Amino acid sequence: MFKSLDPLLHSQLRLAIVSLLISVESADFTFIKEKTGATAGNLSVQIDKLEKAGYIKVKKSFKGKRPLTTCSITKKGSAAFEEYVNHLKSYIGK
Amino acid sequence: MEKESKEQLALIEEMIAQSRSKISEGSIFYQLWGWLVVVAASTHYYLLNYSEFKHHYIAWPILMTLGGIISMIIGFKQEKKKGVKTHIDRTLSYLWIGFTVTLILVLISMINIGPEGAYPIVILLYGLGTFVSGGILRFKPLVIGGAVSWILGIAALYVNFSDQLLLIIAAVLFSYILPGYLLSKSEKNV
Repeated sequence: MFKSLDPLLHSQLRLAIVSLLISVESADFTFIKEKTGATAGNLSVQIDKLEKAGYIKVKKSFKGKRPLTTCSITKKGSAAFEEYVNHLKSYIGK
Repeated sequence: MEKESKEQLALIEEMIAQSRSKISEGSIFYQLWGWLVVVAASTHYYLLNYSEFKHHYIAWPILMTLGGIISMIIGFKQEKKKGVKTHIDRTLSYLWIGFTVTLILVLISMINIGPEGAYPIVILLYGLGTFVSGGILRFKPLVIGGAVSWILGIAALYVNFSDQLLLIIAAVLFSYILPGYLLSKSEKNV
């Protein structure tokens, strides 16, 4: 029987964001944008969705006069990611 | 479905690799502190042995405060530029905060144990700092440099205060300046 995949993570960009954050303490918006190659608009929409789901924590501050958005993974996000990877593996048959 | 799953896993692997490619740019700190300690200890050695100046230790508080200010500025700038904080960054910052607090407490304890009692502990601490950093960064020269400081720290227990200053210079040369130089070379190769 196939396990259902978490729809929140089953999107290229959202999965990329969570995968990036899983291995670091925190990363800012520009770093995530650079690494994922996403547009700023799309990225902020997806970050917002992940934050609303409680998968990531978003801190807004200022770097000089420019706003700085720093993201980090939550325990919930980390657990969801782990589960998602396990489900993926079960599809591959490992 | 299997193909899609494989693609998703490949994406995850790629992103994790991306976040790992940013290694800590710490070599500047090893070199900065290494050279500051060399200058402070040499000045101290010179004033102690070849002058009548009462405050022969004067270079220490001046240069160490200067080092603290420069480190904070560099650290702040690096963090701003990097845009990411890794688990290694956090582990290292806790190590060096712990190191600094212990160092300050040892320096305060000089009131009771005297400088000749405190300096060997300072050298041993230098060893601890670089040994652990070397392990975290998987960089052997730092690990070896740390071990060298431990040997010099023990040796410092058996010499007079003036010679302890020379051992401090040797300790930072092997534990900080040399590995710091090698680390900067390996960072450039990444």
